[in-house]
Amino acid sequence: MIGVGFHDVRVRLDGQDIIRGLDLEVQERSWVGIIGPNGAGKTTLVRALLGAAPISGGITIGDRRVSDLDRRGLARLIAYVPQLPYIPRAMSVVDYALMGRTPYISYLGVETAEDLRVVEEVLDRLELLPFAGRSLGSLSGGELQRVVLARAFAQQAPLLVLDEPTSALDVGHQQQVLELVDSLRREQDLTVISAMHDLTLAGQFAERLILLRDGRIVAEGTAEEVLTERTIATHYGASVKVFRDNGTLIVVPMRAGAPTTGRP
Amino acid sequence: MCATELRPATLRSVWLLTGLAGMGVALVVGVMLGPVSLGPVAIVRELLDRLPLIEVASGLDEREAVILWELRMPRVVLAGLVGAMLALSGAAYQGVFRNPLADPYLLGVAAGAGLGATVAIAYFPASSQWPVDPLPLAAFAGALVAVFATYTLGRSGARSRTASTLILAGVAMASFLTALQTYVQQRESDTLRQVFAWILGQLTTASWPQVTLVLPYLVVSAIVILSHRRLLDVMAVGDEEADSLGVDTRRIRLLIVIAASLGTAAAVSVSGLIAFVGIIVPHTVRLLLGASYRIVLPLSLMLGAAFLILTDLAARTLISPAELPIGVITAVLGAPFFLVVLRRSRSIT
Amino acid sequence: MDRTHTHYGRNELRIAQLFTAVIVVVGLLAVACGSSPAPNSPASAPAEVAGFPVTLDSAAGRVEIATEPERIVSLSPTATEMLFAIDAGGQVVAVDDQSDYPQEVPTTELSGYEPNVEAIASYEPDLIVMDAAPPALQRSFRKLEIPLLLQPAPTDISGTYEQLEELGVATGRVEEAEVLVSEMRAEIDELIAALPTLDEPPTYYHELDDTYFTVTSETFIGEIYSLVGLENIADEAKGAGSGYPQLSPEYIIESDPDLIFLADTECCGQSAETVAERAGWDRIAAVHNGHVVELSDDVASRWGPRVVDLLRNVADAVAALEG
Repeated sequence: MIGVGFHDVRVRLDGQDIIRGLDLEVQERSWVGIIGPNGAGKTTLVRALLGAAPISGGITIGDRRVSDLDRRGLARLIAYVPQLPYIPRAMSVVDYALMGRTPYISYLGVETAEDLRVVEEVLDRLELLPFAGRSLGSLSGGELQRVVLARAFAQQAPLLVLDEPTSALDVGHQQQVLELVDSLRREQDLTVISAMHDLTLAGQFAERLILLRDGRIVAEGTAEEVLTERTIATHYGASVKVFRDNGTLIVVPMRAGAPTTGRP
Repeated sequence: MCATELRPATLRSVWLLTGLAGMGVALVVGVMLGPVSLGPVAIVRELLDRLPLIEVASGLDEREAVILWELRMPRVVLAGLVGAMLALSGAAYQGVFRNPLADPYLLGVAAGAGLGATVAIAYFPASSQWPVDPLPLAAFAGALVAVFATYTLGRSGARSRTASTLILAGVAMASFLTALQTYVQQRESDTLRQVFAWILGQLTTASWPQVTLVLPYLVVSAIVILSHRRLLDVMAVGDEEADSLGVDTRRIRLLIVIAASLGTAAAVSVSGLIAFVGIIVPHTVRLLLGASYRIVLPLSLMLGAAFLILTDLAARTLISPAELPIGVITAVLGAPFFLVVLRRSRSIT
Repeated sequence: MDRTHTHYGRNELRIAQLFTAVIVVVGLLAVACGSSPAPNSPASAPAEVAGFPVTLDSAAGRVEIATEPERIVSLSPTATEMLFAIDAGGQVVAVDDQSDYPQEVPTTELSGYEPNVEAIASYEPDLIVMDAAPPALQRSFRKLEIPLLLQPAPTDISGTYEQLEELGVATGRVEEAEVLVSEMRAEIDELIAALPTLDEPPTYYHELDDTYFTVTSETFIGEIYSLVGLENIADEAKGAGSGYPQLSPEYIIESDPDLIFLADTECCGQSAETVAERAGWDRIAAVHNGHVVELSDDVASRWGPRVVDLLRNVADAVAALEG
């Protein structure tokens, strides 16, 4: 149960201001989706949170400042799932998931029985136990995505940070992964921050959306509030149609000038 | 769910014992055979006689006993130590740079040692005026200076000290040092043959003092590298992810590079540049037993020792009483090996 | 943005075409000029010196020397010694950086290992003597119309005599060369005759460097030792190919040679003391009986007139065995 706070965060890389004076409060146990056009700074914001980019200003997790935490401390608070995780093809599923326990294993030490127990639980929850001894190279895309999540959950961190979690998956797997994250989030009271480019999925799963553009927050709120045709047209420079269906929003790219056939 | 069946990759004791046995067999065979045949029984008795509290007549005359104890034994032991170190360093570099073709000479160690040796051979020939032979010291110093320079070079630039930056810096450093070495060789061309022989690698002049000279470095280096085996596995996923798991990748890379370079420099200083060991051995272990560094590191050490002992045996017996440069044999074995590794890696990806 | 891109591309293409055209034209010119046949006639009319012009069959093929050479460049330390020994020193203008005997030779920075044609030609030689020259180099000298005499290391002493006589003809010192050769023959015969008769031919080990490279009796120096009646412990490694194998120290100790000759006193700082310090070497007869001979690296690697001195050293060592 950890909330995250960004206080006047600025990130400057290669002489360019990527993030300009950003203030954001993420409530504990919520799911915040960060959306925005390419180059808006989504990934940079994520990396700043991980302590992988130099910032001025402050980021707090709970009551601790990120800059005060050492790497291991941070790793116990944040579990990070990158957009394209590196998959060592010869490594077994168990070993990969066990890497999530690294922040808890002493520097030159080895895994304890407790570490193994945690991993076993996680693999079980993600229905990966039958695959435990398999090598990563022998798994399908969907199975791999679950394994990557397993490593993240093995970290037992209260904050889960996902960078474009669905970009490499097909439609079926996209839903599967996000549903899994949502269930586990509720089971374990996790806070989730995800950077996403798929607006519909972002709207469906995140409780709150942050629209980033040129390193600034230009819109925030619920999906209803943020995912309007005007907002998207203004900031993405794209023309879309937003449909409602059973309380969920569906954002569809619409070719300008193409005849509209359906109902709004 | 009571007892868990899950286990991380571990070095099973059967493999450990096999590795040790392999080393032992190679050691025995290496001591038994040589250009001068001494008879296995006599050898065993002579060695037993060396143990404290045991007195056995071995039947070897004084000269043969000296050959066995002062020439052959230190040579076999040194071959084992050098082989173990080169294989271990190679595996460590492959882990820390995530590159299957990384070898212990990657960061300019070979070029630096070669330059040091060339300078020593050309300008400071071994002479009774020096208390110690300057050649191994010069090679050792050259290797370490080269790695230090490479590291400093790799710190400049936006992506400092990442794996690829260091590799590039190492290539640049190696080219530069090799050019310097070639220049010295041209100026002092009458030392060409000596330099060349050193570069090809040889254990012909092995002696106990050499063993005691390098042993401390090898032990320290091996301890540091072996203790990081779990962390090398974690580093396999790349700097960014490993950092997020709480691992200080830059510091570990530096530490491993220092340890491996120290050990490699020590090995090279007494044996010259024996190539391919750092590639052949770790990859063989991976092919046979799996890629976790918890297995690859200790077994590379043992297999490397056995490999070089047997290779050196071939070097000193194939055209006996003449010696083959050991680097030639490892290269002959290594080239086709590369093909095998390439084939394998293509079929996996 | 698009427009500037193609504009730039067009200009660049023109420059490239012009550049290529220039290169092609220059290249054609170079080939045309370079391949014109070199005139065969000598630059000046041959002087009427006795014995000249001469034609020699050297290892570089036929060599024609029009007149007595007065600007000889020697890139072979042995040839240098030979030239000065047959009194042709006055005709020598430059010798390579390794030539150091006799003392008065005009040593330069020229290299026999890495010969620089221009540097050599700058001395305006009318005869060049080398012990080895790659075909490309030979062609260069032919183009410059400078006669090149190749005298590679011979396999035995008769080769030395032949080379001396050849140099005599080439430099107009035929008589001096003949005298020197007969003197050498006489001295050597004397030395050999004075050798003690021993029950068995003594064995020897000739060391080239401190990693146990040695020579077999197929080499020039090996032949010298054979002349004196010595047996080479390295001959078992004859099959190893070149006459310069590397021996295993075990084998050297086991062979227990009666004599050890060190040709690495200068390159590698070896001496009778350092050899005695090597582990196990004091077991060798040569070492513990004090029969380790320190040779001069140079004398042991050349095949010129000082071969006699070398032979004398060896003969003395053999004589010492008796005592």
